[in-house]
Amino acid sequence: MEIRRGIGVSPGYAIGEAFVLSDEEFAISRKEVSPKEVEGEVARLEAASKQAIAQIADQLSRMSKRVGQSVARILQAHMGLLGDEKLRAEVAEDIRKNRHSAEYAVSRTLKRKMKVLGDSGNFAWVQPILQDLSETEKALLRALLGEKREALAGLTREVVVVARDLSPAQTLGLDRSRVLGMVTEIGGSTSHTAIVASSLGIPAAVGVEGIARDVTTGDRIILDGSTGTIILDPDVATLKRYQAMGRNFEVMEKKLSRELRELPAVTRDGTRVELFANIETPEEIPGALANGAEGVGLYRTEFLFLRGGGPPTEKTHLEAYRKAVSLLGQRRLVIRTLDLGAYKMPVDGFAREENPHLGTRAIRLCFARPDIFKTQLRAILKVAALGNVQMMIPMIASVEELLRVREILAAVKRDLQRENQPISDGIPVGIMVEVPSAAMTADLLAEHADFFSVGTNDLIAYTLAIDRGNERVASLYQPSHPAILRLLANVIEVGARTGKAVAVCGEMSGDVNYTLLLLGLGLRTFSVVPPVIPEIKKIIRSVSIQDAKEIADRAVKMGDARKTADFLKAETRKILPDAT
Amino acid sequence: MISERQVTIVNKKGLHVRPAAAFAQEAARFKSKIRILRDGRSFDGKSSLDLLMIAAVPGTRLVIQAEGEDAEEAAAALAKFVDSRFGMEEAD
Repeated sequence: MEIRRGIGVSPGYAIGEAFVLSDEEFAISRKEVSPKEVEGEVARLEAASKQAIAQIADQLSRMSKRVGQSVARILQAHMGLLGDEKLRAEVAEDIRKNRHSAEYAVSRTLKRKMKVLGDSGNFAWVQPILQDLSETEKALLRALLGEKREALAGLTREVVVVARDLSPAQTLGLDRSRVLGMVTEIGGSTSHTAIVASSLGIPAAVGVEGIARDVTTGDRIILDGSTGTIILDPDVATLKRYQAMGRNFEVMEKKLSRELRELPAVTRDGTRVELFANIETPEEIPGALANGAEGVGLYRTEFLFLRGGGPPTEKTHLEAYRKAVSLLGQRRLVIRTLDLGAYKMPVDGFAREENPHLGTRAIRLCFARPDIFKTQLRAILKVAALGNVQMMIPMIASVEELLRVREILAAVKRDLQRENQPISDGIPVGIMVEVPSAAMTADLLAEHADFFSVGTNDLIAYTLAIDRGNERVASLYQPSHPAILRLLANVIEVGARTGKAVAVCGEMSGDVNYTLLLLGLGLRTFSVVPPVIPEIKKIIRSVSIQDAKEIADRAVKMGDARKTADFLKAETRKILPDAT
Repeated sequence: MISERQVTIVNKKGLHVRPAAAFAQEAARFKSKIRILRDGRSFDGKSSLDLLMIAAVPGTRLVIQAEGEDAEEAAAALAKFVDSRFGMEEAD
């Protein structure tokens, strides 16, 4: 048994077989074979290693003249590893002794070697060797599996997905009914995996060093998505303990959600609060409604742009938006326009930027490429005729930018009218408040924006100048920093004064420890990942606005991020004793 | 018959993939069993995989142990092979 720690990003327990996605997406479908099949597996291993060697020999014969001696020597060294008798003997022993399939035995044997080397100190020195061993593993698996690679989309059993990193395309391809949990090496709590997992209610941990290297598909693994704890090869007592905790968690979660779903989010003194869901794809809507969401407060449209094959067509946009509207009926749908940096979306004509987060991203990219922006606006305007749709513009930093958006929007409307397309005339246009300048000049922006939605993740990053993905400074990312509280208080106050709705859709809004504070600051609209809705509702229903105001006042006066966070946590625990 | 030689890894990269493969190949020329001893652990000198598992960075001291009819010849030749930086140019 071995315990690893990462960052818990989506609560819940997952206990099951690991499914390791290597960069080549190899997946081993069978772990064990029957006694009769054992010798057949050993023969497959022999054949595979011969085939892999032959492939390299073939490669060598075709290139020897053109490339240098050193490449040829590396390939020869790989042939040496593939033909290594000791390796074959160890794998064959694993097949015979444990009745493992040849694929599983290869992967397990080589992964164990890599782990021993990886743990031997001298990290930098062993890296190239680890790569060579990984190449060897892949070459053998390629030969064994042929073209029968099991795709993530076609999972046939329930698994805990383990990967170095999961791309948006991979997470989109997940068969959600089969994925018990997700574990990745890369990423922080705002990473893509984190967002997807928590919105789907799948337990997940990110930032778990070396996990994809050390685990083999078929290994038993326990994941605690609240603490980020991973247990490899658990002993029976631990397994039993976690199974019990898992059952308990599910019961609590279902009970909370069932009890609360039908009840309105109203404080004890009768103040109504709105709870909306943040989603990335329309498929998440049924789950969000089941958790008690009143609609969608943030529909991130970036997935449409990350699917590959260039920027989405109007048809692609429309299909997704129509689906969302049909699932929501007359419930609100807030569509956020493209919020990617040029660096994430390979569009022509953009050189690499030294500071992408301060560069051509979101609305700035849209201004630079009006064709991409207008295509999205056309689709939003068209779908607005069908439902209760609003649109939200990210990264607005000044009034001028918002006015420019309004101009482009008016031009697109004229185009559509000329084409006699049915469009909604009065679609509300709001802005994301995520740049400090926007938070400070909310009063100026209020004259031209129909609503505000505070994106706390970027607002905190830009205000405190912290990249949370950078481990060295990540601990300085503090939602409870006095500067953040003041900016939030300002935006909420301006909203109340000017009659413009204010929502908070950043992660802070979905963290139960900040619910009392936000409520006390005057926030009446929360947009959060669906699984936390029941807990947030519970807090809202447990307090009066007066209680919340007093808590917020004390928090703001503290002027100390850490003390404030501790205080808010303690107040939250009084209502939700299990909150972490 | 058993013969032993103590050697120090002197090539710049240490016992990396290519040196390991070259050593295993060299060792295979002899009939004797070849073992590499380090800190009480023993590795198979004819297996490039096992040689990698030694994780011998430059400066590591190892014992080459040969057992068999050509043990003396094997131990001497293999020690020389390590000293000669596995027969490779340092530029790689």
